[in-house]
Amino acid sequence: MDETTPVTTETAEWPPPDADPVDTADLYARLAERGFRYGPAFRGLRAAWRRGDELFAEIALDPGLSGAAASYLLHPALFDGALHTTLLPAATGPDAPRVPFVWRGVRLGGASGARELRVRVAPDGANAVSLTVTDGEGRPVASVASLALRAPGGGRSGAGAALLRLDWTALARPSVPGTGALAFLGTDHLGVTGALKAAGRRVELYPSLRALDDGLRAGDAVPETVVVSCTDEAAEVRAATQRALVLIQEWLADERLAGSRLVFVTQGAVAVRDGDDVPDLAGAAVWGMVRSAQSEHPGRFALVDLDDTGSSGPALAAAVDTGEAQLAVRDGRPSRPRLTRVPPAATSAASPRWDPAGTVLVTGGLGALGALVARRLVREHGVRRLLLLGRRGDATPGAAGLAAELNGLGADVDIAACDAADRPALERVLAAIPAERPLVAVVHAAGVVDDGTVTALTPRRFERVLRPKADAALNLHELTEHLPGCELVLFSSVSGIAGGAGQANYAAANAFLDALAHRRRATGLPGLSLAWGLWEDGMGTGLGAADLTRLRRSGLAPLTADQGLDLLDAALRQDRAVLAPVRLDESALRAGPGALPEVMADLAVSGRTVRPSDGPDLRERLAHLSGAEREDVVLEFVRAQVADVLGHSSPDGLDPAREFGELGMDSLTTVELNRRLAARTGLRLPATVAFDHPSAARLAGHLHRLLS
Amino acid sequence: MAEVMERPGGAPAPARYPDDRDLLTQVLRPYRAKRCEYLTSAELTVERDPAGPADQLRVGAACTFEIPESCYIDDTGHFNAVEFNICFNQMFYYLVAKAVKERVVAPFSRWDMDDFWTRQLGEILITDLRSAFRTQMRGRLFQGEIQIADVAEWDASDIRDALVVIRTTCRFWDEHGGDSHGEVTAAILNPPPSGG
Repeated sequence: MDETTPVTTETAEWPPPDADPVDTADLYARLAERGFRYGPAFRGLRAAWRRGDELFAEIALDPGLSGAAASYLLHPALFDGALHTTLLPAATGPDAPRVPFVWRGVRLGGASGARELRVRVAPDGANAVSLTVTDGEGRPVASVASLALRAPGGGRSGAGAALLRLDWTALARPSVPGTGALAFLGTDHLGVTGALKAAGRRVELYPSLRALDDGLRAGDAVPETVVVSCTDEAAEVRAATQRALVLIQEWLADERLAGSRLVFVTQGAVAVRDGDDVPDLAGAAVWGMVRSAQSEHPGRFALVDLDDTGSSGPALAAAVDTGEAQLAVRDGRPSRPRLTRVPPAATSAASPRWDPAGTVLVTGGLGALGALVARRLVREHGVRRLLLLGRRGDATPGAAGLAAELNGLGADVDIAACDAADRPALERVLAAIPAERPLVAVVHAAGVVDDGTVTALTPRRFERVLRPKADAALNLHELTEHLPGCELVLFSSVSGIAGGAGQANYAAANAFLDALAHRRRATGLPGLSLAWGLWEDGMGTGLGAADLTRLRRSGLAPLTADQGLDLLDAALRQDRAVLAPVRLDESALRAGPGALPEVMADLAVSGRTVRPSDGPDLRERLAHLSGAEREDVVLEFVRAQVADVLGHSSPDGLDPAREFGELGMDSLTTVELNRRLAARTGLRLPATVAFDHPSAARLAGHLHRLLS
Repeated sequence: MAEVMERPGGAPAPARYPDDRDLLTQVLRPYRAKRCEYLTSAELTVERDPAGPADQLRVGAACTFEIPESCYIDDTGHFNAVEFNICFNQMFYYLVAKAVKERVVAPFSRWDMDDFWTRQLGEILITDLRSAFRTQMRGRLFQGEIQIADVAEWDASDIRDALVVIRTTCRFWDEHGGDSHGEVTAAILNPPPSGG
């Protein structure tokens, strides 16, 4: 700190008379839920007020530390408390806590030994603030001209933003179909059994789960691989996803099937080449949800998409034995999906994508993300008339302010209260668009999440997510396809491609959106689906430290608003059906492909082909140790894994006797813990192992017995 | 955390439905010959969830019990796991029957009473039961409550018949400080068609 330059004095009434009080009663509890855990001495923020973009707060030193205050120019706990002002929830919209990153113009001086502070925080651009700090009497203590903030979790600010696309990499044509015994479950909508039999495979048939259960009870061998055919393209997305969810849940619940793999076969549910049609939209949704199930339970599920069942027999017969999690077979040749980077568009010419005289409709246009996008469309893409849809319309907090702001940027703005999943309501809104300002584009940014592990999801929880995403998208598609040149820009999620753990319903809805964009382009309609990574200002606001850690381990990090909007600009300069604008976590990529979702394996920095090591294989280490030492090593191993999935930097302080629930483990971290323990011990562990042995000590004892 | 339930059509209607003596008698008929009618009163509660959207409801029941003597073992002196299970069953049967009768929450709001009576014994079964006993309950008289955490309606398909799965939480306690609680999942097989 620069101690030589005095801080300018700002004498003002306190608290500012026109500022509104901010509820700080449970601030530290709320921050703790997000992974910001402050000890008692560091919970100094006592009261706060808001005036427009400015925040004011009072900080008091813990009485236990008051004696020490006199020996400091500014007690560190007090100053830390002052910075907590930046963690207060935003007045409207997004609320993603950000932490100090770059300091500029720090001045300390004037009063010293303060036990109370008054802080004023004012914005300094989008991602920085200025701070003015006085003591309880209003005498200057410190100031910071500019403090850049960013989301916690490391990495350079702005680093890692990338535009990706899904490529399908051809694999060798199978020379010999496998010979393992197969079973087929359910109705064969696609003629899969015929194709397998024609390829020389024996297929045991079980028309229903009950028939499979009866067979196993009667002594049938447990099949290594069971194939199901998804419903045909006439199927409705709810029926298809519900059927797949039943299969996944039954598969995971039946311990007899713990060593069996369930292969979902679809036809026309993915686009292998740009321009390919995806006639089976419901099948695409099944792909999304099964990808999530794969992330949660590696090795248990596989996906194979066929072009033509008749000619795919040998490739399918081979595919079910390969262990590849996802395959498409085209002209008898298998290929697998891999995300790759998209080179920047050749031209950066900013000619407007849409006729400025036309109307651009934004669903979810009054939400945090929608508002960011609306501003960008006006500022950078020449949009001059916006129709913003939100379920509450004008009654949405901040709606009037947003409209005024967009007016100020030169755009006419209409706001409509409309649920785009409500087709008649949407029809009325579209019919009211004036003929002289025809609809030229729709940005479908609405959506909700209802996350849960795939074993906990229900048809109702799928419905909650499918309706605002998939139903609305289909309505928008069908109600605008007759409008010449009207483009549909669908905001989907990379979770539909990478299979977000705990998001099978969300992944299903978003994979549906991606497929719809392919469908449109295949039939000559303009369409683009943007499979976004998490925005820190969007769905990412509610994430805790463990969630962020898990996200980063999977190679992704939350996008800042600036990154997201820049990627939007870049995506709108491309000419593709589906693009994934994401922020990559460079350190996860450097750790090699082992820890990444398979679909991201090609993004890993080359040179490393193994997952970051935890040292030698646990079994090997134990072999050289005595009984007591072995127990210690297993316990340390379990503590390290628990600490890691919870996002702790080290297992120190993790009490082995405390129950996992008390430590903050939830169903998703439990799934992750289970996955890691199984991978690193080589043991086949039931999904309930961490519930049955719910502390590090008890789980370690259990594993020790299994490993002995 | 109790999940909330959506009421199809119309505004939410928080309500309390007082003990329905006739219905209770009918619901407990299968227990009569075994002399284990433990549930003595039950009030169905349909409440707004303070943490949820305004159009969603939480359904439960507040109950009283009496176990004059065990129906299967000499007096153990405390409320045991078997009795936990029996008391849960009685609360659950009543909760579903009353929900059907008052048409308070889907899917039961679409059922008629015959739909319930024909399924009560053969088609309603517990698929998962976890009970925990914090402090022994010694009294003959005690209280209980049940909350529906989630209802999942599964349609019939080629691979599985239709199914309704209800996750619940429950708790029993007495005035002597006895306390036990649990999480129970029940399935209803062969439910009436969901479109009906």
